[in-house]
Amino acid sequence: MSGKLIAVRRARMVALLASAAGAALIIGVIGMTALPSSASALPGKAIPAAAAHRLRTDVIRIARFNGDAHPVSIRAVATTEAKALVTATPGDTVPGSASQPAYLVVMKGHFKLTHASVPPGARIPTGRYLSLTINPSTMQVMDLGLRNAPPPHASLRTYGPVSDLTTQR
Amino acid sequence: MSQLRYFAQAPRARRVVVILALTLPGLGWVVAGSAAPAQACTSSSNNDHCYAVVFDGDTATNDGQEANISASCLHVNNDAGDNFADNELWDESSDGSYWEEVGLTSGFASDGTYYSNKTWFWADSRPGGGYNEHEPSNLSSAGTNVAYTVEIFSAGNEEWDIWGGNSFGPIGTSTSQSATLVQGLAGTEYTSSGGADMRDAGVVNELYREGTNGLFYSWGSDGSYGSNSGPSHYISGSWSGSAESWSYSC
Repeated sequence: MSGKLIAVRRARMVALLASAAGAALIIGVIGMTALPSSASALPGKAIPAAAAHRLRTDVIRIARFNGDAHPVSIRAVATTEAKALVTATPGDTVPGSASQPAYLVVMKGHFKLTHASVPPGARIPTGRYLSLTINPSTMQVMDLGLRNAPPPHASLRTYGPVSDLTTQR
Repeated sequence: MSQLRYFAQAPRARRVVVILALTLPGLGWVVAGSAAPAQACTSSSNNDHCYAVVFDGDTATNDGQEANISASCLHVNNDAGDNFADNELWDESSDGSYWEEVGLTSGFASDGTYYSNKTWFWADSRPGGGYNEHEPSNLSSAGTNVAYTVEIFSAGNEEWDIWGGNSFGPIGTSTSQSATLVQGLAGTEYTSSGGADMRDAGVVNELYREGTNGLFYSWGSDGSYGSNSGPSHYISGSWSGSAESWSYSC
């Protein structure tokens, strides 16, 4: 291995370690100050009714935004972002996600992501399974995936009690 | 040999400290008019997005791309237009179907969330893997006129690492990217018809392609070229070697 390549990898490692240390500090601070509210679910536990109602409202809006106001099914579970990514964006990982609580939502329908950032000439992504990870504390979407085939663990039972939000009122 | 860029000679790529308050270089900013078009940039059902981008002239298989992104203004109004604008770097396959990307966004994301400020995001499109988008919640919005280094690079075994953020570091990993990535491009993507609800000015420079031999090559030495595209596009970018700059309504 050349000295130049070693220098490249050493620089990446230094930055990686610095980033990891910073992330650990941030996670610690967040853990003390921004735990999910009592209305939110803890990973592996059932989503409380009030949170499920809010969640349904939000994801129906997202489904409508992406071309299908009436998804065939909407299922949700409380887990961590890292676990949720296995289903939502299989193959993608995000630093710090292991300790980040998340709602994982999988919707089946006909979706078209007209707001996806795509290179010039590329087709707008379309698909039947739209998956989301949502921060329970802020209800902000953190990750989104769209594909035609069912994602891994699409039933969501792997992660804990599943909330069926399809027809919930 | 002068075309090669070695890390040992130029540690630009791995700078952890960003360059603060970088004044945008004089690259011949071009401000275009905002004529109302019949067919226009839009986020409707088709890909009628508009672009002002620079392409790397070398389309050999690569192991990554890197750039500095600096936004002097990037804002889309929270209105019924549902528009967005991005400043970003892509690395795509030869047919443009698959890619890795990283950058800053404002306006409406794919999930319908509105971002008023310069928000970090990354995304990919992979064979059999669909489209995946991430707006990391632990990253603060980017500053104004700050040159941020971003990098997309292969870690082998179809894994691509995405680096960026206000403090240059890893913000995501994309695996199972079985497509061969050959084309780097960078600049701005926008959807606002006529541009009445958006401001977008910035520069993407220090553009380098990482060859499969681990060496870095300047896009300027590769024979880069610029392109303004999309229905009735109204931002005219200015490219110069390894840089693309644009300015609209700031």
